[in-house]
Amino acid sequence: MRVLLRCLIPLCIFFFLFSIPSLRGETGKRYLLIGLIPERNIFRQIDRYRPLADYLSGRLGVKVRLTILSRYGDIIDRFSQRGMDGAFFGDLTGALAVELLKVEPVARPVSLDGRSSARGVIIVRRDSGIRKPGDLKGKVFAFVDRATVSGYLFPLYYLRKAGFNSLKEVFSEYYFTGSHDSAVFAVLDGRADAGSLKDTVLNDLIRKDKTIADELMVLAESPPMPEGTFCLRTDLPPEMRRKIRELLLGMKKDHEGMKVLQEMGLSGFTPASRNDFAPVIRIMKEIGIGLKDYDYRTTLKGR
Amino acid sequence: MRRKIIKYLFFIFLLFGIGGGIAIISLTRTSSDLNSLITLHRVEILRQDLVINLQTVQKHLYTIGTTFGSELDVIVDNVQSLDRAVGKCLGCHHNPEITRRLTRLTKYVEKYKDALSAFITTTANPERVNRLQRAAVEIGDVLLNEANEMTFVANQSLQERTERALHDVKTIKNLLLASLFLTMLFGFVVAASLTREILTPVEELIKGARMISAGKLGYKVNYMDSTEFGELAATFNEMSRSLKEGYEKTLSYMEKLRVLYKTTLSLHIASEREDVIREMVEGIRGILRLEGIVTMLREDDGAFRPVPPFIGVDEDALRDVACEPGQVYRIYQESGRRAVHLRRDHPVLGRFFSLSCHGCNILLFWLRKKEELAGCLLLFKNEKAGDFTEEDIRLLSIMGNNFAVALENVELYQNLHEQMRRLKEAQEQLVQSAKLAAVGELAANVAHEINNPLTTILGYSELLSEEEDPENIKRDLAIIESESLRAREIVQQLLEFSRKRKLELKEVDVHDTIDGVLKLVSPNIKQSRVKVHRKYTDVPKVLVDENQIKQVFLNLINNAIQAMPEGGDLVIETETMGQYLMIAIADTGMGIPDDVSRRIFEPFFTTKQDKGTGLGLPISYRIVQEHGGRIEVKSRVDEGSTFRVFLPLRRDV
Repeated sequence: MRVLLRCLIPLCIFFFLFSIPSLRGETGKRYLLIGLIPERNIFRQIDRYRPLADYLSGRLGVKVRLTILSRYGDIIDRFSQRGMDGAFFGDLTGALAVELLKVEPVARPVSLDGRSSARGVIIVRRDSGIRKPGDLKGKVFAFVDRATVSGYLFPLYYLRKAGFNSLKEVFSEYYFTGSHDSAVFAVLDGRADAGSLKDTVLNDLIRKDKTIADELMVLAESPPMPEGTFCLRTDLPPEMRRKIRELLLGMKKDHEGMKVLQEMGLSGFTPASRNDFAPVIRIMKEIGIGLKDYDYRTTLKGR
Repeated sequence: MRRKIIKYLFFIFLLFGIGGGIAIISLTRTSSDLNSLITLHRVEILRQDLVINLQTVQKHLYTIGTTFGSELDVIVDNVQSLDRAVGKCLGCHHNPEITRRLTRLTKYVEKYKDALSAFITTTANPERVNRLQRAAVEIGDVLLNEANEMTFVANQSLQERTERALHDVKTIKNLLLASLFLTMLFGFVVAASLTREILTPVEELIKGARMISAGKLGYKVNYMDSTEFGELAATFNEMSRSLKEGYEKTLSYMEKLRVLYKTTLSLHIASEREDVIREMVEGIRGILRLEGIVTMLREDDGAFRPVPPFIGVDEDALRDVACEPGQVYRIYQESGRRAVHLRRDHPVLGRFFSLSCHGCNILLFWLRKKEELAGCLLLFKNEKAGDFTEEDIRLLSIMGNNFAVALENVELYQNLHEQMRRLKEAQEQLVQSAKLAAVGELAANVAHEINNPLTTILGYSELLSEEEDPENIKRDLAIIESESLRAREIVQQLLEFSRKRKLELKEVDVHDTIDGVLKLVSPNIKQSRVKVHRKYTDVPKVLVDENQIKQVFLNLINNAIQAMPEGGDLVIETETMGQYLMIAIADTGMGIPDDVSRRIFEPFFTTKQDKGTGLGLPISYRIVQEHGGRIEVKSRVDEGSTFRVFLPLRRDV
């Protein structure tokens, strides 16, 4: 009996000691999870934001992790489910997030040419002969995602203004590439006759490969929409939110921050607010879609 | 020594440093090799992971369709790990074959990423999705093949690297061992050498310290070098030398003190001025080792004259030389009453040493008596012996003070001597006149004593011429005869008193003597109704002239009986008292008044008018005195008197 006790007591102590770190682990998440939408190739998207995540980790003293979603709409559905603390939202997802997730817009990235917005564009190959909305009839169209203005709502608005009320009556086939660059490649590779996306990605691609500009042409262009708005959940401690906002806005004044911005192809961050999403609301209104009622989940059903 | 130790330590550290440095460099190289080895291993693991992931992803591609949840993060992570691994592989040195393969792999990875991303993000009709899926799967299969093919090449490289790393580790181990061994060897040599270098001087110093503690002052340590020990040895030798010097100084000072003590002692014993001066100059010469000394003293006429004995100066040259007091006092004042060094050509005192003591330092030392200048000393010290020091002057002061006291003593002694002589003279005169007075008184007493019977004889002689009655003539003649006899007795006793007789000594028991006397006077005792008490104790015999002592006792007992005409107690005691035998004869008679008792031993002093001659007690006193004893008397009027005779028990004849 005594021998048993002698063995048991150290064992108890051992387990007690080792239970402490695990308890600590459960009491609170010790990292910030930031969500990304697949506006480009998901791997490149992750790679692009990683320096920023590392920079924030270093400055905040809290590990910042990134997670990417395969669909734009998923970010609305899975924001809470995946325990995200913040995310870089697109034009429509941003508006949806502010409305549905009650997140707080914090900052928007500013590109090297000073823009913090993107226009939706409809592209076609120059040799396709498509020059007006009517020319799209019977063609294959590559959208980006239902939860984007530039990659979906804008061409919808464009077609609506041309008198088309159903996608099915216009296109022989249409699909969602999920990312803006894929839409470009789909048109370039002939997997689609036309496509829509935001001009910033198009311009990026053209900057890397000039021949794209020769092969493609822009059929239509939307007003500017807020791009890549960074929002934080409001139940995050105010101190932490303030700190993150100050860090992002102050990056361009910081040597290390500047380096990160250069790597991302940005010139800085600018403050963001709910009002930034007014153009989104406006275009939706014109199409006749309410933000709250909009089915942002991308499926081919109901096409 | 310190520099040497630092040098040694520096060498040891240098050795350590070199060994350690080489080891660290090798370690760094090896660890980088090991790192790349680990990386290779990791790459291999990554490759395997990649293969697994690829297989997983491929499987997902077939099974899950197009909805991705949290597994997308896994896929992203895996693909990025794959990306990094390939990047790392490209970063390493490889042969062109591997580099080419890797480059191709990178391209495939990029393609795979595009295809995967397109497949993952695209929402389209099933055919399109299937096409995208197939494209991705095909690239994935190619990647799998490539990865598997690379296993062999990677393994070969891994083995080479491992062998090289192991070799390096071995080399480092040997280097470290060699460095450690060398350092230990060097350290041992250094320790041995330092120990020897430290112990040798320390042993020498210990030996030196023992020598000094054993009393060998001035012992020199036989050690010399430029280290701290050399310095210590030099300091030690210096200390030893100064100790010896100090000791010798003390000894010489003690010697001086001894001479000083001896001299002052003899100074005070001397009773003549000349002796005092001699003792002083001899003493000073002994202490200060001088060549010459001249003493000058102020004489009664005030002049200062040299007083012999001198040392080192011809006595004749200084005879009849004198200095005027004024001159001397001037020098005394000028010198501030202190000892002064003189030059040979001194205007006043130069003549005292012009003839002698060439090559000497000269000191003039003042002698004071009761703060008054009494004279001076001229002291000559050989120049080779150095000049006079403060210590010399201090010693001279002591001597000078003692000299002054001794001179005073001499004067006092001489005064005393004179006084004594005068006293003796006065005493002798006094004795002479007392003698004359005594003789006068004696003559008067004798004349008076003899005059009485003579007057009677003369009277009766005149009566005889007129007497006719024969009876009367007979009676008168009888009276004349009786008176003549009385005169003769007086003369005889006087003769007896004045005659010095030789004592005929023999051992006598005083009790017998006393008893004989008592028998002799028994009729008188009976007549006076006196009761005799004998209180004899056990006393030794004494060596006396029995007849004379008998006379003493007879006188004393008769006196006692006569003092008790109405009867009383006669007590006779004997007792040993110290060196004396005491015989006490006490009566209970009328006693003797004080003024009488003071005179009872004077010749012809009597209280018995015509009964006694006044010579009994003086004779008794003289007899006892001749025996070396004494008589004491104690008396109280109306109570009685006690005469105590003390006779010496031992008598050196």
